[in-house]
Amino acid sequence: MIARSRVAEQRHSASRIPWTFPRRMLEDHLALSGLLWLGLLVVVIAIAVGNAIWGSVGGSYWDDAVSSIPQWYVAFMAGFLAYSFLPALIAHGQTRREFGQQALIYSVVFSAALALLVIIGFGVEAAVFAVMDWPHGIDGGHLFTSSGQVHLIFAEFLMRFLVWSSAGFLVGAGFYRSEEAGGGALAVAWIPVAITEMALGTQYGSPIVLFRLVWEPPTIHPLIVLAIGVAAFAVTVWMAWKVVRDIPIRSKST
Amino acid sequence: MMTVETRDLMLRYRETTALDGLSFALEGGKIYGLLGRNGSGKSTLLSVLAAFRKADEGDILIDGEPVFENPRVTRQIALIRENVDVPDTDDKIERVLEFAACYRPNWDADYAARLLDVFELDPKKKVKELSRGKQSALGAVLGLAARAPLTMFDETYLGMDAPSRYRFYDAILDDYIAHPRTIIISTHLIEEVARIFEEVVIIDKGRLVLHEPVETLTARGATVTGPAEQVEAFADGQTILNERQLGRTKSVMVYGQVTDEQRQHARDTGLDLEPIALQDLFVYLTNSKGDAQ
Amino acid sequence: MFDERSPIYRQIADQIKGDILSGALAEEEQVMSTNQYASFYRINPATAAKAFQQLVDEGILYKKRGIGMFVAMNARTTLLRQDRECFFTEFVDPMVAKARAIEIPLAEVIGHIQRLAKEEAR
Repeated sequence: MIARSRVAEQRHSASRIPWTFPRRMLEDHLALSGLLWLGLLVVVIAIAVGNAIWGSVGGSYWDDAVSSIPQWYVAFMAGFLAYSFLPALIAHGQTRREFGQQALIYSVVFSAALALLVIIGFGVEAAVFAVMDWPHGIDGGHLFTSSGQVHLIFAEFLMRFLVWSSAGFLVGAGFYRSEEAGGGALAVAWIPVAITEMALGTQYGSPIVLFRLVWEPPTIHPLIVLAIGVAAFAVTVWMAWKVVRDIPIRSKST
Repeated sequence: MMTVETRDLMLRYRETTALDGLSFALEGGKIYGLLGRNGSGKSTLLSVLAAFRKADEGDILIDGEPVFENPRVTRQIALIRENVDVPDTDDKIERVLEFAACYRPNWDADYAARLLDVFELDPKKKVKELSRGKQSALGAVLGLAARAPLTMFDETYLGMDAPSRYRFYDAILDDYIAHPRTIIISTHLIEEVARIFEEVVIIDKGRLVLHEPVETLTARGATVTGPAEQVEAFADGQTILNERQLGRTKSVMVYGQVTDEQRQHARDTGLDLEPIALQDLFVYLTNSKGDAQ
Repeated sequence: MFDERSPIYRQIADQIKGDILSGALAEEEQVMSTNQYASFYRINPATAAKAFQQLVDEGILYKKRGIGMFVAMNARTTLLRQDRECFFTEFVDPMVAKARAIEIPLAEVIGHIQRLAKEEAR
């Protein structure tokens, strides 16, 4: 009797626990991300100014920046999450499944937060360009055509960050498991990313730069693009789970 | 109390078999010593008990339930190993403790703070800046303050100097008395820790050698000291664990039942009888199994 | 604290017996709990408990439920009787063996004892 109620008590307190993990990671990383975002924004404005002085401003530069750089950052953070936090959490009594759930929540919240930063960046750039009377056109290869289409920007970047995160996570988990698994993960993880980016027809940031030179892809309906991205994310998460579900936790000295 | 039961555990790493049909059962609520030579499978066993790894074959029941990926059970297990399992060694100690507090249901922050004092750990120091001994001490703090119903220490004392080790043993004993739970300590330094063990599990080459209360073990034989001739006469025909001689005085450790008659005879012939040392028994039991010597 | 001369639980038991005989522990007095003993002497409580159990079996200690362990009413008498029973095997026989070993004639030993007896009689 007593044993059972104690277990129930622990289960109750245990269910409160998972939320602290995404919160702690988020606290750490959002702060860092905010700083990096600010830096990137400053650089972009500086480039615009530079262009205005020595040439002319052709359109949004923030567009180019966020289409290539944040993706790698997000992927790397997710890889680090898998490689470092997974063993630490298992060592503290969590299960791999619980870790997976928490990692998922973290990824969604983190990606959404960064997508918001992208939107705000567009807004700042748009305001500055408006004051300076510079054109603020958006290149092709996006779901949105102007910086005001907030919902489209959000949807696209949330999707992209999720896909890149899951790929980074897969690679991190693979390498934690073993060199072979890591190599295998690398060989495979770029595929969903490439498919998603191809679907977007992104000009910059695609891992396969050659692609654009060889073949002009047909225009796909935006919803299909989103669906492809979501599918790519789901498949990568599934692969990552396969790696993680019975992953052995090594001794650090090995 | 957390019971621990294993049945026919098998685990192979590429060419080596780390666990080879290992079966035993612990009642729980005691301090257990897990003894084994390097490569005996001690660390692997503890990893598997803590669900850090999955055994290839066999069952593990902790508190009557399978352990792997079972949150109800894993939540109550703390395995502390040589290198502290923290996400980031760039973290300060106080951060590490906060992290542990998030995940350990029975975490006692005040106790953790007191232990930092005992082991002379500065909460503001980063983990990677700590010496090996201090890192081990941090592991000890994490293991003790977690107050997990099943707490296991895998040679956590490595790198600690003797005073720190004794503080560690003292801390374990004191907290065990105040908060009884199942504690398993794996170690090489047997004689130092033996006095806090209640039962001992000896494994070798991935198999169980024996599992008994310490008192029973050390009573299973005797250390006979006295004039060399008499000692040799006494020890004749018995299994000998250890022999030492200085001048005419000889000391022989025999393994096997020593009857009351024999004890009386020993006293009559001026021989001294003492219990056998766990360390020597351990060496004997793990040396002579089919090894060419 | 404890040497290796005999099992720890026996040493504890012997120590408690010694305290009772010397008067350090009076009859009907409460003894330290097993946990206190274990903590004080840095040993596993189960070892202390075994010592106590042995003493209970011998009728030296008894347990009051919910309170603790107490020295039995006739503990001192019991102990003295125990010691008397072992006196010859534990002390006299080894003394004789030793005397023989170092070649002191038993007659000398007896003579020495008789002298001591005479002094006592005075």
